This record gives sequence, structure tokens and C-alpha cells, in this order.
Amino acid sequence: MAPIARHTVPPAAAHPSSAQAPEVWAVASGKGGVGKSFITANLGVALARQKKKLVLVDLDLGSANLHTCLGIEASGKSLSDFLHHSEIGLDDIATPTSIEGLKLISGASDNLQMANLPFAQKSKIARHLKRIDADIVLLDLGAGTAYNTLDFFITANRGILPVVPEPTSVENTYRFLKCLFNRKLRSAPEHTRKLMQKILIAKQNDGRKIRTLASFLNAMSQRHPEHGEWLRRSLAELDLHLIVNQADDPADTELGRAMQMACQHYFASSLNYLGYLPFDRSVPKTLRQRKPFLLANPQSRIAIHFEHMVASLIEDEATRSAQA
Amino acid sequence: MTSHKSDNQPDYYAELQLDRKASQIEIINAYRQARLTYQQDALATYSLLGESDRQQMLDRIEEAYRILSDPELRKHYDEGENIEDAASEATARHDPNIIAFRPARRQHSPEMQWRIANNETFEGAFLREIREALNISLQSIAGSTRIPLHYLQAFENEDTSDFPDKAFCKSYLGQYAKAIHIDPDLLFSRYRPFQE
Repeated sequence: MAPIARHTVPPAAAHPSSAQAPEVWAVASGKGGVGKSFITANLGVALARQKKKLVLVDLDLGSANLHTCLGIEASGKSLSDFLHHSEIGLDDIATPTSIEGLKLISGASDNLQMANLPFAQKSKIARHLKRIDADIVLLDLGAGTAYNTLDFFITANRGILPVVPEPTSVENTYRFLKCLFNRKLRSAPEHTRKLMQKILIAKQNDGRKIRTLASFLNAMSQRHPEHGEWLRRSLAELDLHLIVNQADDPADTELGRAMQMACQHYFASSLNYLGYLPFDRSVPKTLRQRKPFLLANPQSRIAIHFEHMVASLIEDEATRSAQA
Repeated sequence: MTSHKSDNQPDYYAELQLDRKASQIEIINAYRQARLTYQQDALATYSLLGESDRQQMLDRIEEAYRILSDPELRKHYDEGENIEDAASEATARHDPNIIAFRPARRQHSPEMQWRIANNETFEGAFLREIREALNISLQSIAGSTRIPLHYLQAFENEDTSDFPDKAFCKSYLGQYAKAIHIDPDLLFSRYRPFQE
């Protein structure tokens, strides 16, 4: 399709949903190699099968590989083109895939400066994400707690965190959450922030300073109920979901619930355990064949678990929008 | 947010992440889940909290379970009454296996070590004695190994007739042996039902 300047496209012509801003979902993790791109690609496939119109965006800037998980050639335009040419919109660089309803904005042919995105360019991408013509825009973010990652994650309506049952991955997931909450709370109004400072400096009844986010929020709610409520609401906006990937031991299947509980106790924040994906040796093999796993192995346990997760995400979204 | 919460009364439902209408079985499951979450070296929490915080958390969970698992105490609590007086008389009603939480020992006493080394035949009762000396409940072994409780009880009652076959039985017995810190091979060769 020839690139068309965006303002000439009548909103209702392309797709009934295109008039509305898309839902933005982000996938990120504290540690690399836990299956972010694999999960993003296959969630995308599973959502497209539920008749959702999707655009996957590879924002793992500088080490993009979502195209490989989807089994397509790196081709055509990429984010660099969008950033450097004002007439190109994000819709223009979204490449159709073999799966109906699923497009990809790849980072494969980005230039070498992409990993260190300046603030203005980051804001430009974030602004345009919500104008993409789709039901859901799914972001594949880089590992770690760089501001770029955290800020894109906060921009999203919903966050998905894969974790593998290994100490390093679990530790870094908490690390990621701490950084995320910290960054999120910085957006509080100035007066609230001053009150926050006071509470953080003050000593508790036991003579120690506040150590957990949960006790900080409790102290806030006790002394300044309105501000405490504001902070809780602000954290709840994040709508976090956890996926346990590569579950091998029977005990691994319980890691998700345990982390959900610990997150509630220590961060007073809800981290919804979405489900687990069983360890499967055929995953690297399918990647080598360059096929999306879900299409190559539709009967596998992994595929079934993905379908369950997607169903529960869609249901959850429906309840949320009904409440709003 | 919860509807009633006095300043000195903690929110036991939030502690176990339960709904106010939770059934008895949901309470037991949530309690089991919470115990797994904060057990020693648990993957989900070891990096979040130190040993004293972990014990504190377990105490809070025990307390929440003690109140919510007792229909009468729960009723008092739900009505916002002070439960301390009612609680002390209710403690006696409880199953000590589920309620009492004593830290498990990781080593046998010297005397027990000697008896384990020199006992030619391990009877079920002896296994129970070893386990109880370590302060380990069958429930906690069931929790960490995922072996159904009745199989573990069967080992201590020397009733292995329920197992589908011997390989199955042996595999579970090996895990049980590790849980009470004895060598599985030693137990296989000396466990009385196996000697017959």
C-alpha cells in the first residue's frame, strides 16, 4: 500500500475501531532472556486469532528481534524512518504479517544510535503510539530499568511482566517493580511530594525508617488520607500482569501466586498472576524454523496456555472499561 | 478498601488476600499458599525480606489464620468486636498440627543421629519420632513436596497398600526421607515394610 498522509484518511473507512485510541499493552522484564519477545509475538498471534486488530512494536531499541519470533524477514521501514521524516506516521511503517489483523513495527533495520533515544524522540513515539490504527498496540520493551523502558511502560494502559523460575529473574522483577513504582510516584503533584518526603524521613514507632512501599502507603493514608488515596490510585493505573515462563518443576507453577501475594504485602500493589507457560524443548527449534510458535504448534500446552491468558486479558479489559 | 478496620485490629482478610465472604476451604487454601510464599528460601520472597521480617510475616499469617479458620472467632472479628478474650479460650479447640508454628530444625540431635545410624529396622513410629524431633509437620512436607498428605501418613503407619505400585511408593518415600533429613537409600534398605 502506498504511504498516505495520515490526515487524509477518513477515520471510519478503514476499520470500525480506528476512530478510537487503541489500548497500549507493554511487555517488559527486569532481566533479559526470560522470553519477552517470544511472549509478545505469541500473545500477538493469539489476540489476532480473537479478531483483534493488532500492531506489535519492537521497542527493545538497539537489540530488536521481535521479527524473528514472528518468523518474518526484517524489511522495509523502521522507527528510524519515523523519527527522521515528519511526513511518515507509525501506521506507515507498520508491516503486515502473514497473520490476518497483525502488523509489526520492527526495529530490525534501525540505525545504530537507536538504543540511546533522546527525550524528544521518546516523547514523539509515545505520543504517536495512541494514534495507531488498531484495537491493541503491543510493545516489546527492553530488559532492565532504563528510563526509556520505564517511561514507555508507564505510558501503556497495561503491563505484562514475564518471569522465569530462577532467583536472578525473580530478584530483577522486584527490582523492576521498585523502579517502576518509584518513577510513577514521581509524577505526583508537588504538594503531595513534599508530604511524601516528610514521611520518608521520619522514623516509625519502632525507631526505624520506612522500608517497604506498603508501610509507606499506610503511613501516607493515615496522616494524609487524600494524598494516600491519590498515590494508591496512581499505582493501580499500572494494571500489572505476571506470566511465569519456562515452568519446569511442579513448584514453579506456584511461583506466580506467591509473587502476587508478596507484591500485595510489600508494595501494596496488585500484580495479577496471569498464568504459566510450561518449559518446552521445541521452542528453540521452532525459532530456528522462523515460525511463530503458536502457528507451528497449535495443539501444544504452551498454545493452550496462551489462549487462556488472552481470554482472561480480554475479559479483564471488558470489566475495566465497563467500570470506567 | 475494607469497610471496617479499627486502628489496632489488622485486616486479616487482606493478610491472606481473601474476600470477606470466603468459604472455609478458601481460607485453608489461602493459608497454605501464604505459608508456601514465606517458607524458608522461597523463590518468590527470599530477595525481598530478611529472616526476621520473614518470621514476622509468618506470624501475621498464623494470626490471621487462627482467627479466620475458627467460625466463632471469625464472627466476633467480622462484627468488629475485640477478639482477644474470645481468642484465648478458643486456642484449645484448634488442631495443633495446623496451628502451632515452630521453626523447623535442620539437624538431628546427636542422640538421634546415633539411633538413625544404629537402628537396623525403621518402623513407621520411628520415622514419626524423627520428624517430630525436627519440628516438621506432615502438612509442611506435603506442602513442599506436593505429595498428598494421606501417602505421607501411610509411611508413618507402615500401610503401603494404597500405592499403585512399588516404584511409586519408593519415589515418594525417598522424598519423604529427604524432608526429614535422612538418606533415602538408608531408608529403602531399612524401612520395615520393604524388608518383608
